[in-house]
Amino acid sequence: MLLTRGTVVAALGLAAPALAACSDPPAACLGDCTLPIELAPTGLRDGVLVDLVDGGEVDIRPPDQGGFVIYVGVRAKNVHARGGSVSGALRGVSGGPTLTIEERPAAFVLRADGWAIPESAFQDQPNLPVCGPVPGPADFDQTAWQAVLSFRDSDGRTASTMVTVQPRCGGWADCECSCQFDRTGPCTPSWIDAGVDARLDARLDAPVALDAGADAP
Amino acid sequence: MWMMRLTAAAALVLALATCGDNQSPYEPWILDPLTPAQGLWIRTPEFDVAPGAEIQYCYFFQVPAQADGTLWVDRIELALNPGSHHMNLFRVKTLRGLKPTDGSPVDLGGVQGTEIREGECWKSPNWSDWPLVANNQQSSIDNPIFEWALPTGVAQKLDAGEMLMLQIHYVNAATQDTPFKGRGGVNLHRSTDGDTMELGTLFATQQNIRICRSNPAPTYGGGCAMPQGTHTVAAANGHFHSRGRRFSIYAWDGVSTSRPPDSARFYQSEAWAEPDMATGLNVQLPQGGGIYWTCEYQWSEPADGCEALQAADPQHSTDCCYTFGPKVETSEHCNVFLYYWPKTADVTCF
Repeated sequence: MLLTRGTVVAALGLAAPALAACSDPPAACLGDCTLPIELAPTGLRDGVLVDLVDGGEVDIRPPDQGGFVIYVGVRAKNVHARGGSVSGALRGVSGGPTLTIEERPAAFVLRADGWAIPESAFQDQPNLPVCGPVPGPADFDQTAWQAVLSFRDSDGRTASTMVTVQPRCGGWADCECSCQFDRTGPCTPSWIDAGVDARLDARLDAPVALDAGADAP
Repeated sequence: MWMMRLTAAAALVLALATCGDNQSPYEPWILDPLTPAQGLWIRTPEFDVAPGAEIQYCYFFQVPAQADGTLWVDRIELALNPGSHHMNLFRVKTLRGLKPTDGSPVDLGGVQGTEIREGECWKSPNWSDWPLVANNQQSSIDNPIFEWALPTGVAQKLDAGEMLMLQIHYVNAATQDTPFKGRGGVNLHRSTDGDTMELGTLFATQQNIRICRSNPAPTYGGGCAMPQGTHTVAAANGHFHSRGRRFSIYAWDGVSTSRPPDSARFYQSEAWAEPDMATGLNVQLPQGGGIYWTCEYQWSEPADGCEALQAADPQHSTDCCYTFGPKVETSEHCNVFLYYWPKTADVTCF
């Protein structure tokens, strides 16, 4: 029987979960996992992870393939560090249609104050697209939205919280142009004539600020 | 000695089987050229895909002059030699680093165009606002031509002079084989029965994805609201790479903040290399709603080790993570290609 490289890779792939299951220790509990999960909102502002309160501003940033997203998530207590998932949805402050929704795996690290925070502000918080051709007010920038945030840990326990956020372009011309129209109006940012837009090529690899605490060991 | 020769011969066969030699006899697919009255056709030149290589070429061309200024297309044929990872046809909008004027002249059969190989053709921000026209991921020897007749009364509208870009991605490495040469073809058949309902397209993608050794079976999901109006899904397909295990698309009510129930699912594929293109769906999306999609993955050991993955990882993790990117061998995607009617906008969700 001839084995192609693809077959070998596939076989390794099938074996990998079993091997991983044998070697991975159970996810550590950050807090007391016999107690209910506590959540509080977090977000990306000025390129770093911050705790959010109602009305807090969050950055609109360009992901790898282009577009415009905000990063809003949760910090938590009494959760397992890995194996959970977080979801986020964005809708008007007075309800109405949900503009966008996302769910993703989430890993957490322990902060000195006992809260578990997203390990990465980009990977472990929902990435919520904004500025697309969706229903709702045309102007996203400086407009408040309600973020609905949920967390499910590796044991299937869930919790939710909400926060009002204000996405902002922060002087990013392309964002200000695209996000202030319904995408059918004129929008010709100056960089189009200049060719390559370096900002859209930038990878979002800025480190997460952990100034309020330290990583879990 | 005979055993050594047998082993050597077996090794040669194995090598040829795992990386296409680009030289074996191959009965090519044939698409009949179209007259201008019948529509628009293009054929890419044949090109080599060397063992171990992963290539992406972009072909630009303009919709020829039309008697009434518009080409309404109600039947699409997309053909590929085996080994293609995808072939996408876009309308060219904002020009960034990928420009038709930077390409080399190329004869595309039905039209003349320009060609850009590799380089900027790999950088997805270059076409982030270029609406989808059509796509195909099926390139098997037995079924090289994908044919789609649009729903009755529905047609894709192309304007004379409009710039289009056909992008082809071929792989001849560990995850996919290109046994012969690469080649693609498109036939866009003119509607002759008075179709006036315009086909719309939606492209959605999950970015910032990670499939890591320590978390080997993640699921990513997202919801995307459609513009106001009533929309019916005509066709859809999902796209990820070899770590992808299941791709699902649901109708979403635009209100709920969690994944829709299984009863709302209208597409599911577990074939990453030749994902199903579901046509004839006729799924009416909820008013004010949209779609929700999920990508389920299973991490696998990279054939050539973790170094390339680590280099591409924005976090430079040592956890051997596949992250968002176009290369089949070392990165992952989670993309939705969806076709709906009547068109209200070119929808992008990212």
